[in-house]
Amino acid sequence: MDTITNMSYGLSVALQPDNLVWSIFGVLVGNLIGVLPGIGVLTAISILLPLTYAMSPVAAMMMLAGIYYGAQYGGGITSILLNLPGTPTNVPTCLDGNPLARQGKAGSALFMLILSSFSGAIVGITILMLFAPLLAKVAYSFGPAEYFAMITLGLVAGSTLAKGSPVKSLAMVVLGLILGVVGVDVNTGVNRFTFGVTELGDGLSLIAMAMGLFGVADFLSNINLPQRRLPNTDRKGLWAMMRSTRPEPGDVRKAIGPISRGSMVGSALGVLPGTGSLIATFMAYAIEKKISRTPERFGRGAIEGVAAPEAANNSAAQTGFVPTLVLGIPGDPVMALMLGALILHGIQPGPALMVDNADIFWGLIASFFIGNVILVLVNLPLVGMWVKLLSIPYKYLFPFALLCVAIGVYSVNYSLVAVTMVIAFGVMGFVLRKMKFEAAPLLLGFVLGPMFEENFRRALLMSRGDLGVFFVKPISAGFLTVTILLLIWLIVSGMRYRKARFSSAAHRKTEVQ
Amino acid sequence: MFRKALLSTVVGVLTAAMPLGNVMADYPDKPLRFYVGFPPGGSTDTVARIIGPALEKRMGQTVVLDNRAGGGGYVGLEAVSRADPDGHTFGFGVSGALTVAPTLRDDLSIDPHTDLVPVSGAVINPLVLAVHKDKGINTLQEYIDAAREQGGMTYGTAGPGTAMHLAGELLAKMTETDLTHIGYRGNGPAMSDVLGGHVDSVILDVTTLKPHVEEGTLVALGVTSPQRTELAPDYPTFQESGVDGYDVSSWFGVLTTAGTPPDVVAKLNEHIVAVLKDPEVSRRLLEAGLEPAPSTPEEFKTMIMSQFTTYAELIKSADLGGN
Repeated sequence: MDTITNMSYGLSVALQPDNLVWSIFGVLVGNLIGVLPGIGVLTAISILLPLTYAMSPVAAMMMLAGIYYGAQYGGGITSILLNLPGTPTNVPTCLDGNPLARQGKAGSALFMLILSSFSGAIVGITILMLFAPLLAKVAYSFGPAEYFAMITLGLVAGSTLAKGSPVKSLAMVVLGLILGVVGVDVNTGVNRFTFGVTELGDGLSLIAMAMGLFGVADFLSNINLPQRRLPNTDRKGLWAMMRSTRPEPGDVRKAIGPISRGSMVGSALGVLPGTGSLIATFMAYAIEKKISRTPERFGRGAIEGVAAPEAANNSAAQTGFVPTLVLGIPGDPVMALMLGALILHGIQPGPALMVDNADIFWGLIASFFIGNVILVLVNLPLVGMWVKLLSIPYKYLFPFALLCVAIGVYSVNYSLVAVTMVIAFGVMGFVLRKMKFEAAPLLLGFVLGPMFEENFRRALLMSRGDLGVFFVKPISAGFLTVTILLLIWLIVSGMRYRKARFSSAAHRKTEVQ
Repeated sequence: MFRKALLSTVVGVLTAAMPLGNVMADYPDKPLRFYVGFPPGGSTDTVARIIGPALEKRMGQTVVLDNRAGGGGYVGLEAVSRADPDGHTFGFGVSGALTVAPTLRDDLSIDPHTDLVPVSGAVINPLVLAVHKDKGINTLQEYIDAAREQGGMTYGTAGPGTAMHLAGELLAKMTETDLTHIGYRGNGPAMSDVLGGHVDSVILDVTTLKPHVEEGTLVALGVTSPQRTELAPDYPTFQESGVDGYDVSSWFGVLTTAGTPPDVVAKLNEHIVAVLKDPEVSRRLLEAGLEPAPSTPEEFKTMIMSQFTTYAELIKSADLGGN
């Protein structure tokens, strides 16, 4: 079998001492970057890029890729412990991971994080290995109409994320769409709502928004309560937490379904550059909530709410390499950076890369396996240490985390504009939280908004204004049908819910009388 | 590291030994800052990372690369314009930002023609029009005919207001065909759409397209610059294919802060030109898909201004979008 030969060749490349060392170095740096809130993968890779000149191209790619998927592991850790999503794809992890930590179950949440991240990554790598060329075809069979339809589904599914009122959640999606309008319009080049600030031309900063709406808003809510510390930080509580570094009984069994569904969604959507991994993560969460018999537990510490999105984002981080490796088309800025490193070494990325530079392709895939095993080996023993982090008094821990956020956000472009944005979003997040609006749907709307508009307009430009294009193309028609069914279901179940609440309220009233 | 330290010590001693007095003799007397207005990994960044170390060696001072991405390159250019005018700060300007943006955009925080001083051209990044092989189009003439028959064609570029966008508009105007511009966020998504057959054609740089043309999925119809490119000598030019007088080129050059003394500009130009002519540097640039194109400050300024004037007329007559 070809794949086996190729894979053993890949392993022989990946296990060369030089390559192995750089690959391990990469995953460790990535893990650290993920843990440090606010410092993005892009920043880390751009800082380390000059280091790659002295390496062989294979080692360089392995290190850079290691940073990329290592960060996915790390990003979940701060989501759980501090409600600070390390990367935007870790946002859904906050929803249940942080409540779990507050209930003193940080240890078991972290264990689940590692288990689901690892399983997701392994599924992703296996699919990448077996079907890469096929998946590349899938990636480019998505044109503007298909993207538009998929994003529509993502937006509607996203509004079911929140634990509170679906109407409020929908309102947040719309607010996110509105905020996403800021910046240069990609179809005409017109600046929208930039008010003469050059930095706003590229839109509001996603990382600043995630940090502000989650971390800073959390901080602002907590300084209201001067005595407050995170729960269970007294001696007895700490002891209870330490004991919980193992999974709760039944957790693993409960997580098998979510992990496998999450990995499938992640592997499939991860292939689509730009939008794929984020939609996958939110979708995986929404699916679990939808099919759960006890959806009311979600947002209050459901272990499935950690397992599914983490499996999804880690599998997506692996299949996300498909367009980059098979076609030489970078899926996101980080991948572009990796290809840039290859170009600097005189290797031209393109469809021939898989054949001409088989050592890079197969070596890299083999290094993904090794890297993920290393991540588990490093992170499992560290769970106890991460949990202990919570025993640092809140008054020291959070200002320090805020400092990291500020430095991280500043380092992206050495611009204070982004830091100002973090503060503004923090205040906004605080106000929204007080009014019981949730931030996750807003973030989803913000990320998908520009692509939603862009692809809609692009599809219409190509079809010369014919709206039928969305229903003629099979993939797009499929997505739109599912969206419509979901909408109908939402309306029906919403009405049933209201009716039930109304009649039970009426019932109580009569009882009182 | 040690070698670099030794080198800078030696150079430091040598410079210190030189007679003091005018600015020239001391230049450069501190680390140099090289702004790149685009994120790492892009072609501007690649060029900067190839010539940066060579400049460092030649000028005997550390060259700090600083990626200030955003605003179509303007965040970086703005930083250059605000620096001390002593030649220690310079940056890349790309053709679109210097010749197209001033007409098309009214939100520019600086005037690139007065707040910056051209130092030297750096590289040419030739643009190519390509279609998917399934279209059955093999020459520019067939493309034009097909566009007329079908009532138009769509072409994708890396975004509005780029040299690629302008190339498409100029082609539409000169051949009197209906070409609809589809803007993407960078090369990647445009490539993905042309490979999937969603957009009829693309105008992108030769480096991005060449591997897919070699593989046979895409067909290159022509280069927009007046001469064939060293990078793909078998691609005909638009001019050869019958569009007389067609000329859109895409390049990057080095600019520094306005008010920098002319002798310092000349000195910096000398270093940059020498580095670009270095066989090792130019080999690596060609490998990365960029043709070295050094010039004098005057030549570079003339090129910017003449293209700016031509494009301004085109933009007005074609009534291109924008502000």
